[in-house]
Amino acid sequence: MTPEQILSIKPVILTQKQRERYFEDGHIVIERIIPKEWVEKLRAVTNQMVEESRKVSKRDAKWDIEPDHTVENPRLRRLSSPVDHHPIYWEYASAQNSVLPDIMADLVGPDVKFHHSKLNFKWSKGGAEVKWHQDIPAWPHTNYTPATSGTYLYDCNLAQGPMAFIPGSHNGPIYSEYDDKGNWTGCLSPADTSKLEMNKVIYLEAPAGSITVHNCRSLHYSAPNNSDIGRPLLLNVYSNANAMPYTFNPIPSQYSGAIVRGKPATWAVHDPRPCMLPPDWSKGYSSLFSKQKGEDLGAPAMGGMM
Amino acid sequence: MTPEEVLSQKPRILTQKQRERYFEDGFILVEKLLPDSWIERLKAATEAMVDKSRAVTKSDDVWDLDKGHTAAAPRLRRLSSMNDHHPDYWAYASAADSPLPDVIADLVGPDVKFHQSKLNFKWSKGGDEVKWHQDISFWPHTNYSPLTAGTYVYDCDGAQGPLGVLPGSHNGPVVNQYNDKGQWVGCMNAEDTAKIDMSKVVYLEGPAGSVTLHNCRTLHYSKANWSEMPRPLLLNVYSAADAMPYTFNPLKSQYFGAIVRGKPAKWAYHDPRPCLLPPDWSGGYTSIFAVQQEEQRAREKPQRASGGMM
Repeated sequence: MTPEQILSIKPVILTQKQRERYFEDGHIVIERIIPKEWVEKLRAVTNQMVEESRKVSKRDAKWDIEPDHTVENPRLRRLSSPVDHHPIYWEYASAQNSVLPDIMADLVGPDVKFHHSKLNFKWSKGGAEVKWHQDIPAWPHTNYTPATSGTYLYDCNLAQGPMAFIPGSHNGPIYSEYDDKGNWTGCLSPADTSKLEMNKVIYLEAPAGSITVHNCRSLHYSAPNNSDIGRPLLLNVYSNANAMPYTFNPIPSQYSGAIVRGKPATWAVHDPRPCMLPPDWSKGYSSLFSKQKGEDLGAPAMGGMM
Repeated sequence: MTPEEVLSQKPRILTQKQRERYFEDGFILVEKLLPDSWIERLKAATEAMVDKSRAVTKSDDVWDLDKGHTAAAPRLRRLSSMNDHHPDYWAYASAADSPLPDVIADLVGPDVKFHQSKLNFKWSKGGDEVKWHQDISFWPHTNYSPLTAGTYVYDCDGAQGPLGVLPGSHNGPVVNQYNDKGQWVGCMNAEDTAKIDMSKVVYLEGPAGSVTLHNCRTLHYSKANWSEMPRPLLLNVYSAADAMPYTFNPLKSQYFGAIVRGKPAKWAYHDPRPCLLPPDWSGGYTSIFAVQQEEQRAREKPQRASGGMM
């Protein structure tokens, strides 16, 4: 669906102005949209997951830990696919009693498909920076309806490294996320990054229970968190049901492809703008943090899984 | 690549006129493309595989048996992914000394990706009709460069049920291949089929070693084979490397996605024309023959592909 077609459908949660802003800027923040009881539930389950992480001693498909993570002092970068590790996360991402899928329906159209999820912790006192990147080259789809929602479980101010965007960048080009040697880095090259107009950057500071939504082509980053407070951000990726992913899902889930609102697509819609291909992740994926830090490397996908 | 971009590259095997015909009509027949040595290799491989089928008593992921199949008198509909079952088939589909991948490069551009293969036997005295359909909604890609090469291992004339194609139909719409109940039938409904101008249909008859090439949007069918001769047709599907499939590939192969000429794509190319989605085949697949003949429409509740595998 085009933005015009989506905007012509009555919104469930958002105002028309908020939707227009999303299509114009490529991102929005909706402050305190999540009811308090949901925030409490998500915090409780996240605390429980952090407790579980104490026994983790090395990075795996589920946990990405910081180098100084210990039993006594957990330091986490990411919990991959939280929806598969606790039912509350999936309930939040999909259930009728959750506002999140309704918000997504307001932005991608009434038929909403789940793609993947992750919980980025950005731990206190040094939680990692995420360099400038676009999401879509990591998981290309046949069109550019995919959007990522970020739920702030705690207040997030400038000191915690909030999500930061360049407005309108979703209408610009797709940037290479490979280095000169053809290795995937998951972020823009230093040369491209230096050309970004930092005076235009919008930092999405917001209180607990707020949601950010950004389009898959939007350029974004977040600064390190050197404060004393962590910044767990629960990320859920959705698309219109008619957007078909065509590379191996880097964070596969039992729920990938689940229709959380509306109905499955009969036709796939192709957006004529081409998409850069990620490495072939069918043999394993390591998180963006380790990629951006140069911990692993890979070669382009060819759709051989399908 | 657009047809114009493909045509601007120097061809390896085809004439420029043949390429122009392919883009205009949506298909071409290249008569006697294969030298005798290749025809003999493919015949020998096929005879060896037919011999193997004698031990098979029911259809499975590899073999689709025709009614009346016995060890003494094999009757076959399809060998799925033949390239995985005999090295000479894969050599033909991919090797540097095979003319086939070069012909494909002449039609999709220099970077050629393998998608799937199957050997349709269309056995003598009753080998199945294949009803009017387009291939692309069986395996949608981000663009419409995919095409299917059909190699006649034996002579095929009108009596054996050659491929029948409708010129120019590749530039028409993608047609519905579901019935009124929303079940996948893998062919056009009777009403749409009745509208086809049969006087325009071209039948691709050719001697052994000839190759048919049809675009993934081209409407085609083939009649039953009531002759004394079977009509084994080796089908190999390729695309430009920048075409990305996005639904579950029902014909699994170790060679899916293999680049047989040129190099892998860095960018995926999207054609803006939408594509009809097939059912979700990740839980199992039955061949076109079984589906078109309504042998198996088990799904009470149709489940469209959602891309959950990816």
